[in-house]
Amino acid sequence: MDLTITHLTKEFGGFRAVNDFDFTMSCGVYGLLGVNGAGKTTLMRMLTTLMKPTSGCITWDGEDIFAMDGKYRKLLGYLPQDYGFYPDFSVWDYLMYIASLKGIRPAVAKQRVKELLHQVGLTKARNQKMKTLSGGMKRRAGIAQAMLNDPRILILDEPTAGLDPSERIRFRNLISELSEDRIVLLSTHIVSDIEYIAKQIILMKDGSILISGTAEEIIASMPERVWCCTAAKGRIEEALKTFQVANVKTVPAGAELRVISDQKPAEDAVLAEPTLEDVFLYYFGERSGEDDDTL
Amino acid sequence: MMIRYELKKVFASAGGELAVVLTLLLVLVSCYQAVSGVEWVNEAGEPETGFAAISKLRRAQKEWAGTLDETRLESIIRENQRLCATPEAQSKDYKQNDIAYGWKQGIRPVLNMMNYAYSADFQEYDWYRNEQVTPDQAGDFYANRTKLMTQWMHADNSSASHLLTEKEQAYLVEQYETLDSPFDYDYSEGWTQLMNNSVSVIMITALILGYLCAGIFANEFRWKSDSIFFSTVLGRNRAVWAKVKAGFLLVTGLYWAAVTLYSLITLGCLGFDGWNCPIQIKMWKSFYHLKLWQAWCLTCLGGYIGNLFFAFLTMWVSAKTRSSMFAATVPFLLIFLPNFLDNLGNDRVSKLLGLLPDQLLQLDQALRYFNVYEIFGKVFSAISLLLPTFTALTLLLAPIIYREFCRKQIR
Repeated sequence: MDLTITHLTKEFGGFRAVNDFDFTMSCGVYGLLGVNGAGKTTLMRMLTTLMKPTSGCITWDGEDIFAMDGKYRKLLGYLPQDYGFYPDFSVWDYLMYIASLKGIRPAVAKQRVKELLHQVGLTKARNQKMKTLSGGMKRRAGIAQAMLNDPRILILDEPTAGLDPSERIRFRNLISELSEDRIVLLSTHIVSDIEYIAKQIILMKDGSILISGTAEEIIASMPERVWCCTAAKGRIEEALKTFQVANVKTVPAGAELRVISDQKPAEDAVLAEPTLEDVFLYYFGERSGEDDDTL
Repeated sequence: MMIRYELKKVFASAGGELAVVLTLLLVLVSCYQAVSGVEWVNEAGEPETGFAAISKLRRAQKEWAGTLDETRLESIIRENQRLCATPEAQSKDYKQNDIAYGWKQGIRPVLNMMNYAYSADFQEYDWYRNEQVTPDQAGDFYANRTKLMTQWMHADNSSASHLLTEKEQAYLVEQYETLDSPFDYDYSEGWTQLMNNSVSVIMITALILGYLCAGIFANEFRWKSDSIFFSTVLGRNRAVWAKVKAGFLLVTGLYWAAVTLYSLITLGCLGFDGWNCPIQIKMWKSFYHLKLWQAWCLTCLGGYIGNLFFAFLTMWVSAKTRSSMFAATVPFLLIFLPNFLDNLGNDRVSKLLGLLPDQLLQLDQALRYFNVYEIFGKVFSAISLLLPTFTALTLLLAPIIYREFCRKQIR
């Protein structure tokens, strides 16, 4: 059960959204981490056959997914980033309709929809119109539709976007529950979404893999160290200009800074344990996540 | 299952519900217009409408119902002469004239035909011509129809000579000569009113259906549900067919519901009488050999094929452009553009316009026109070309829509 991406490239009028991407996935959760515009959505749209690559190929157990056509889509569950639905359908109708699109017989679909509504906590809202659901409920309905066919490959594009912290935690736990015996590829630009549940993390930048591995491997790969120090009020600005600062916490004397640097930034600086967030900042810089596009 | 949900998508929205309500209102208003369009002029010369008026008109015309042979025509001409000689008819007072008009209501449709049959020129219509007809002219009634047309065709500077080829002219003459006569005459206001108001029912239904069908494909993009739709196992094959079939069922269901309701209410109120009369008692010059009921069935069938063609074209544009707004304008363009071109006043252009799909929505009008076309030496009437051509084009559009939508890529 391998999903292999080989030299995958997607160009839009000379601009390479995905550039020579190589990766192989087997069972487990894969976190695709990158700033907006890194090419995550384009990669996922090719993995869901919504978009054809300019070059390269994607294979499932050695067979080209575009040649497999419906056979491949039968294995697929997908929750897009810009998740749309039928506003006047009830949750039940929406899921039953998607079940029919997935070729699930009505009798089986009814049972499956009941189970999934229970699993995502939407049983009480089953007769509610989709357009009246809260953001979190919509996302849960979204994951339910993706899981209807018990997919071997579950692709979730920014599934936690717009959710509040408690919804995000709930969603993360749900994904973790669902990850048995399947490939789950989850794209995000929020580190905490995947830090604890991903078997492997892929850092994507400008359409290519910057680095990939387990959270520990990625943290260990960072060539610089993380320091904690205090800066007086008048020196905060200077510190921010001089160093890559992962966090600033204001205290009465000034600010406690979390600095990424290979050299000790201040006399009182002490070494700290690096986190995935520090690595993210190290690779993508402070401006990460400011752009907002769907590439 | 998928088709059911496709239809649910259409009707679950406020726009879908509104469209159904509008269609129902349209039918009821058209029925009201049809029923209130029947007028009876009473003994005082005042017009009356309503069920009592319908009943009086029916009774008056039923008195003269039967085969319109020479003997009956003679009787009608004599009766007309008698009524024309009354002081009321001769009076200069219009009120008195109205009273005299009221006495003629039983034979009014025949007098209208006489205005055509005994006119000096094929293109002329004189409202008072019937008053000059004498009983000895009764035998010319049917023969005059062909004679006047032939004269018109052979006249110098006649529009027929440059609009119709020799074969087309010969075809029309043959159609005129072979029409069964004498005609059956009966009260037939039900069918007359049914056809007079059918254009609004059929055309507005086409616009409403265009609006509903415009969303079947484009709304997947508008609602951003396209990504999930296309990533499912049936999203690029059976689910797309389900959309096409839903469009077909939507048109079939709503169109026939509207037309059937309109027909039943109108004929229920005005009566089915006269169903077997030839259309020439209402459209004297028509060259088609049809009874009133056949003409109505043909009008409905044409409307159905037209509605289907418009809806399928709208769906194709909606799948192609991903815009339901743009797609919904297709029926408007197809209906109103030919009308605009027709106003240019060019006879040749008008003849070509007779083959455009908007004609299907007004076949009762097409029955009145001399739109005939010589193709490879054979002459066809407009209706005999319109029906098979647009049936074929509609059938052809179905796989084109399917292919268009199946191949969509999401960016």
